[in-house]
Amino acid sequence: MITVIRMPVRGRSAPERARARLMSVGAALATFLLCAAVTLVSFRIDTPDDRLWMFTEREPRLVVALTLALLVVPAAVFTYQASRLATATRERRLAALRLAGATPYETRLIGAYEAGRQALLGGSLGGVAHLAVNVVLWWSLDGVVPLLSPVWTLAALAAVVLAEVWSGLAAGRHVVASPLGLVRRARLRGPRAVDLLLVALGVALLAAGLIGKGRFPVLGKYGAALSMTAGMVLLLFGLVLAATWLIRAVARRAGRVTAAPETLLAARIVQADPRAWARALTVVGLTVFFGSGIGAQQGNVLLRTGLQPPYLTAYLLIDLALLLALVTSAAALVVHQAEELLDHRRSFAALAASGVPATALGRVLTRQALIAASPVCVVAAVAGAGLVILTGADAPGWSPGAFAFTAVRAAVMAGIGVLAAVLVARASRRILREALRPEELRTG
Amino acid sequence: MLEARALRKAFGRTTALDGVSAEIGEGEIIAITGPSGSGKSTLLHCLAGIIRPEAGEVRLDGRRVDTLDEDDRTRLRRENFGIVFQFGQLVPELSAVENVALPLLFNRHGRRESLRTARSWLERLDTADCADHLPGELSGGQLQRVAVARALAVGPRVVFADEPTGALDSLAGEQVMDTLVGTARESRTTLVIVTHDNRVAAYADREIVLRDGTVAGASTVGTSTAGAPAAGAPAAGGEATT
Repeated sequence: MITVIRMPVRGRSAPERARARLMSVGAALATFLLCAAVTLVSFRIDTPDDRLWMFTEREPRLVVALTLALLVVPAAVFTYQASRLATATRERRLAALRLAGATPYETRLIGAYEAGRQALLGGSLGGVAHLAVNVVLWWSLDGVVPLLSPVWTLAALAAVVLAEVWSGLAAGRHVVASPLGLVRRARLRGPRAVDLLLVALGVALLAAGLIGKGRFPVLGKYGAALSMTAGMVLLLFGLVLAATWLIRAVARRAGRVTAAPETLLAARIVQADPRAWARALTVVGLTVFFGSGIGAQQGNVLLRTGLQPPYLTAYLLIDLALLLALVTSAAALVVHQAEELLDHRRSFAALAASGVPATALGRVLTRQALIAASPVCVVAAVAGAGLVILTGADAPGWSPGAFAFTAVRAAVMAGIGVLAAVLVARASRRILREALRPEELRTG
Repeated sequence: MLEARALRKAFGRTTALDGVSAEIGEGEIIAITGPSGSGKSTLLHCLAGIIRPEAGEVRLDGRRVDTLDEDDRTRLRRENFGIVFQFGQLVPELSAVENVALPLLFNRHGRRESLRTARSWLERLDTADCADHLPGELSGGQLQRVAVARALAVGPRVVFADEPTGALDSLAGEQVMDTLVGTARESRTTLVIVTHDNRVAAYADREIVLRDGTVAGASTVGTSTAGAPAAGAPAAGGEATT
């Protein structure tokens, strides 16, 4: 049994080895961030220390800890994207094992084994890296920074490994679904009505809270705030899910009107699987959303209080965290592009053989990124800034200057999001060159 | 019109072509045959300028093709050649008509004009009712006919077909070959077919037989009529005249 489970790990192709390495990197990052967040939560300062002024108060410390914990999301998205690399090869292999007599349960175990193995390896490295940083800080700051208990490190490692094993268990589901061992791709799932329902519900609750401030019919004075909070959360989830609709609508429109073959090709590819793009752009969208929202708040606070160092430093830290999230999500986008190129290598190689220049096919990649990322980033920026303005416009200090700052910051955040996606697409041209080899023309 | 002289090409230690020469005239239909691994597809790729031979030369109308840089060879292929692959290799996300229109769009034709031309080609090849379907919704034969339309839509001087019926049953294969050969003869387009199927080779005017990367034989199959196997061609499943 163990031999069967370990068999696919031997003789892996280069993309499969890359997948394993990237999954380990994601697990290492997630474990490191979780450990760092727990360290901050367990922080105790008996005597104020100038070197750690940011953490002498409980609230900012918890905010930073929460930010670090939230950064696990892009790391997890990255790991998930990495696990999808070379899926076709893995599924062919699992299908061959099914034909050789492996049960669906055994094929699922194989996926779980690979994911768990890489998570354990990467997670251990992340834990050790955190321990090293932790010890250096503890030693250099005379014990002010606490040493994290090994129990917490092990708990973080276990959480990461369990999450990856769960994700790995699902890896062979297409093969499991096909008892003859034939590889059958999962049907591409289009947008669902429930996605838009969440947006509508979120807007309704938000509007109810805003209109009913002070005279909300239930829960007394907390009713309006609760309604607005619930509305915001629902709206955020709804927007993430509705990205699929948005991307498909924009791609369909672009495909209908364009005369440029690159745009036609890009639009139709995006339109065929908007869900994959929406998934890959989730963290980019969230980063733009939070960046714009925080920008709106920054505009109000900084123009009201002046450029005071504590605020500036706090905002700088948040911006750094956003940048880290963007970089991680850009890495997830690279994996998405690579996966897509693997899927399209034969048709792209055929186009290249028929005389379509590689540069034109490169433009297809960048236009796909533009078509998918532009609507997501614009809506995320408007929603992020709009929510902060709507819920806090009656607070003191909102001036025309603050509104202008908010608008500029939202535009910059949307631009950065789109730029990140386009830069990733441009960087993927190297993978494209590999996909255009004439050898790809020989396979079916 | 198209000429290969002493072509050599190796992939690692495997020699795919070892001094292959061939001459193809305008409007001629040539079958390149031979067993698997004999170098058929490699010869086609060299003739079409997809890959460069390590030695020897390829000329189109007396002009060297193999010495052109990647950009010039790409332009040459786009303007002069059409290619049909074994599995069609259509873009799965584009409808049939968009797949046929794509090379026209890349040749800077307008959207309307490209789509109109593409539709007329689909009508000509009896696949008009598939125009708005995605490749995944078409049968193997329909797919290959759309691929033939894509190759012919740009008005190429030479069409290269690499095992065009390799993935089809015999009836669908026959329909595709009738369409491909018939249209090529009608428009006096040169057709180079790579195949290991004698029934397909029988459609050609001439056959070049490869074995272990060398020309093992060349023969005139016969004078064929449009859309039908050459006169004197073997019955389906029989041996080709060599």
